[in-house]
Amino acid sequence: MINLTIDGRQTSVPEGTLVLHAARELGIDIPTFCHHARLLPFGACRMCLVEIEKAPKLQTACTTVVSEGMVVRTDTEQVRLTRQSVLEFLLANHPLDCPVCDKGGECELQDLTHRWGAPASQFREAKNRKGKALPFGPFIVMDEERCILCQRCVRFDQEVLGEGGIGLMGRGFRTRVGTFQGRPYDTPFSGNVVDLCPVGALTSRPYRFRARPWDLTSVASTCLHCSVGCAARLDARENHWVRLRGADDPAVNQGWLCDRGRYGFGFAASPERLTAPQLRRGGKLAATSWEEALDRVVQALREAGPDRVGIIGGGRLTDQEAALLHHLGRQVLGTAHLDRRAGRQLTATPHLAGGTLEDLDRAAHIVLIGCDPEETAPVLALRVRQALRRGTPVTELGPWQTYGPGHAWIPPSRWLPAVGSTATALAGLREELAGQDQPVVLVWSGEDAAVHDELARWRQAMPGARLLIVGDQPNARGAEAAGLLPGSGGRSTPELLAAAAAGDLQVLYLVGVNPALSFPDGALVREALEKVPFLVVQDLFATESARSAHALLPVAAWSEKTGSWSNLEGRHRPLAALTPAPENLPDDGGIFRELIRRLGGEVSAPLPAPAPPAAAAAYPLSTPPAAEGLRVATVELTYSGGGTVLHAPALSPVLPEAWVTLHPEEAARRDLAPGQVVELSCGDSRLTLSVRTSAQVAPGLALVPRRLPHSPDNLLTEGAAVALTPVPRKEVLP
Amino acid sequence: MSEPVTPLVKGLFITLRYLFQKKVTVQYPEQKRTYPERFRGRHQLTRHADGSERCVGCELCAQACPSGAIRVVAAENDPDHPHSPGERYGATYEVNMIRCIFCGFCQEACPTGAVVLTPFNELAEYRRDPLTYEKPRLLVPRKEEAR
Repeated sequence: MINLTIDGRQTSVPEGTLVLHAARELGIDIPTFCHHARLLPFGACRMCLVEIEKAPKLQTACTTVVSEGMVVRTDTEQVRLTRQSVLEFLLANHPLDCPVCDKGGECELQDLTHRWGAPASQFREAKNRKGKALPFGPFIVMDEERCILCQRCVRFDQEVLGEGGIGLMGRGFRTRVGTFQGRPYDTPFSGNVVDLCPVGALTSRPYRFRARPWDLTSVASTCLHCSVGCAARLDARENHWVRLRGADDPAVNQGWLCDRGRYGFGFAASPERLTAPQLRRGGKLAATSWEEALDRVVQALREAGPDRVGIIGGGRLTDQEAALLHHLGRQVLGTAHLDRRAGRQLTATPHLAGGTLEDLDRAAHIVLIGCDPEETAPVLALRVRQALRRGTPVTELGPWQTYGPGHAWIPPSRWLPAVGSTATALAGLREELAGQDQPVVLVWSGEDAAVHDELARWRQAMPGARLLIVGDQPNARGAEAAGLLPGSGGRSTPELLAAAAAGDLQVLYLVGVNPALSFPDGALVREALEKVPFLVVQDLFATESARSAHALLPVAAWSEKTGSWSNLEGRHRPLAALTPAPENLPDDGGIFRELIRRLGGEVSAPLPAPAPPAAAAAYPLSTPPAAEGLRVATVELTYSGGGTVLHAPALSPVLPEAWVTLHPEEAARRDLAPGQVVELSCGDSRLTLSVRTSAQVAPGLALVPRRLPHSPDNLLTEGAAVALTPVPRKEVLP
Repeated sequence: MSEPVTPLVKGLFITLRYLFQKKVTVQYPEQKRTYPERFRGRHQLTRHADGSERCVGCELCAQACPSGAIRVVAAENDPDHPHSPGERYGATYEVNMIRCIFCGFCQEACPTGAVVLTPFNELAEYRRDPLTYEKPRLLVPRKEEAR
C-alpha cells in the first residue's frame, strides 16, 4: 500500500493506483474528459491537472501513478484557474450549438463548463469551421466542430475492438477524427463510440433529434436480443422507446453493446406488429376478440387430448413465463410434448463445468466449436478479441475462420471428407491438449449430437475445461431450466414436426419461435405447419410460420414486461418494463395464465419446480449425407432472422443480402466473380444468391447465411452437394 | 338622528363626483383597448428575415415552462427544403393555452428568439381542444402568404 495526502487528507491505496482514482475514492472530484474506466490512461484533455508537491508543473491526475509520501492538492486557486483555462481552450473552436445538439443536457463538456468554466471567452477571433452532420457509419453522425479530440472513440476502436478503423486525421487546429480512408465506420460495435463521446461530436442517427434528456423516462434492464444478456438502459419519450444504451455490468458486458442490440429496438413500435388476436375463418385470418380466440384455442386443446398436442418454443420468454408454460403443458394439459428448441441447437445447458464470460479473460486456450461469436454473441466476442490481444491461443473449428490467418483453424475440409464430423476434429484437439490441464474455455453453438458426446469426454480428459453454449434464443438456458424440454415419452421438435406432417398431431402451439425459418429441414417444417389441423402461433409479428396458423395470439414485447431471464452463463438477468404494452395486448405469461384458468388449472405461487430434464434430451435431426464436390454449409449472422430485426427500421442499412461465399479457388475453378448472381441448386430446391469470395471459408464449401426470410437456407440440406449456375444478367436499358 | 345619515350622504357624494369624471372602462367587444407593446398574450413563432423559421426545436421553452404548457418535437431538416437554418427544426410545437400562465419564461429561454408573446389576448373558446395551439396557428405566416 502507498500512503499519500490529497487535499490534506491521508489515504493509502494499492501500488499502481492513479491519483485520479485515489482522489475519487476519498470523494474528491477531479473533472475529466478523456479518462474512461474501461480504457487505458491517456492524458489528452488536460482537464484533470492537479498540483503535486515537488513536481515543477501541474500533473495530469489520470495518468500519474501514486507514490509514497505524495502530496496532492486539487483545491488551490491555481488548479481552479487551470481548469477554467483548459475549458476556455476546449471551447475556443467549439460551436456552442447546444440547442440543436443531441448531447445537450447530458453533455460532459456542458456540465463541466457550468461547474468550472469562465463566464466569457477571451477569444474574439472567428471560430474554426469544420464538417457538420457528416455520415460516419450506418448508425452514426459526426460533427467535427464539436469534437474536443479526447480520442475516447479512437482508443475504444484500438484497445477494445482492435480494429483501427478510426484515427486522428490532419495536424494542428485542423486535426479531426476520421475513419480509415473515409470508409463508413461499419463495425458491429460502432454505437459504443456514441456512448463514449463526452460531447455531441458522435451521435446516433436513429436517436437524432428524437428527444432531449429531460424528456426521457429510463429503466435499467437488459438487452434481450441474444443470449449474452448485456446490461442496458432503455429510454422512452412519451411512451415511445427512443434509445437503448449500454450499462456497465463488469461480469457481462462492461458497458459495451453490439449494434443489433443498440439499434434493434424499433420493432416495438413497428406498424407491422400484431395488435389483435386472429382466428382462421373460411380460410382467412380475421381479427377477433381475446375471449373468442382463447375459447377457440382452449376448445382445440381440449378436443385434441394430451397426446396429440405439441408445444414448441419458450426461449424468448422470461423465466417466470417459461415456468407458467411448463405448468400449462405438463400439469394442466398433461402432455410431455414440450420443446423449447426450434433450430439446430440441441442444448443450451452445459453438460460439463459451465463457464462464465469472465473465464474467457483467464483462459489459457479458447476453442470455438462451430460457433462464430462475432455473429451470434458479439459482446462475448469482444472478450475473445481481448484474449487474442493477450496472445491466448484461439482455435476455431468450423466452416469459416473469423479471426483471420495467424490463428488456429480446423476447417471442415480437414475433417469432413475423411471422417464426417466436427466431433472427430474436436477429439483430435482433445488428444493434443490432453495432459496439460489448463483452463480451456470451449464456446459451442450447441449443435451436433456427436459434438455433444465428444464434449462429455472432455470432462474426464480436461477437468479444467469450461463450456459456454451460445443459445440460439436469448433465454434458451432459462427455458431449459424451467423444463421446456420433452419429458419421458415426449416428442422433441423434429419428432413433433414429423408427427404433424404424418397427421399424428392435432394441435401445434408455437410460442415465440419461427421454425419455418429456423428449423433445418425446410420441407418437413413447411409440410408440418400446413398439415397440422390446428396451429396456434404466439408472436409479435405474423412470421413465416404464422402463414398457415389457425389462431394468432399477439403479445407484449420484452420492453413491455417485467421479469427475469438467464443468459448463456445461467446468470440471472433482470428485465424491466419501459413502456406499457399496446392496449389490449397481454404478455406471454398473461396468455398462459388465462389458458390455465380456462382449462381448469390453477396458478398457485410458487409453481411446482420442474423435474430436471435428462441431459440434452434427444434431438433427432437427419444427418448430412457425405457428399462429393461443393457442399452446403450455413452460418448464423447477427442480423439474420425475421421478427425483430426486419421490423427495426434503423437496422435496414445493415441487413444482409442473400449471398453464397466460396473460397477464391472454388470460385476461380467455376469461373465465378464476386458480385455475380448464381442459382444454387440442391436437390429440388433453388436459391438465387450473389457470389462472394473469401480465403477464410474452407475450400469445398458453399457458405450460405441462415434464416434470411427472402432466401430461406433450410430449403437446402446442410452438407449436401450443390451446383452453381450463373444467372445471366438482365439487360438494363439506359 | 343626523349621526346615521352623514356617511350615506358622503358616499352618495363620492358616487356623484365619479359620475362626472372620465370613464376607465370601455364597451369591450365594440371598443378595444390598445395594450402596451410588451404585454404578454398569445404566443407566436417568428421567422428570420429570409422567411425561414427561427425555431430549432431545442425544447428549452418546454423545459423553462413552469406549468408544462409547451410540447416540442424536433426533426431533421431536409437539406433541399429546410424549415430553419441548420440541421434541426421544431416539427411539432404545441402550446396549451389553458395551462399557460403567460409568464414569458419561454420567450426568455429561447436561444433563437423564435417564440415571443404578443399583445393578442382574445383566447376564449367554447371547447377545450382548440385551446391547444399547434404550429400552423402559432407560426407567423410568410410575407407573401400574409398578403
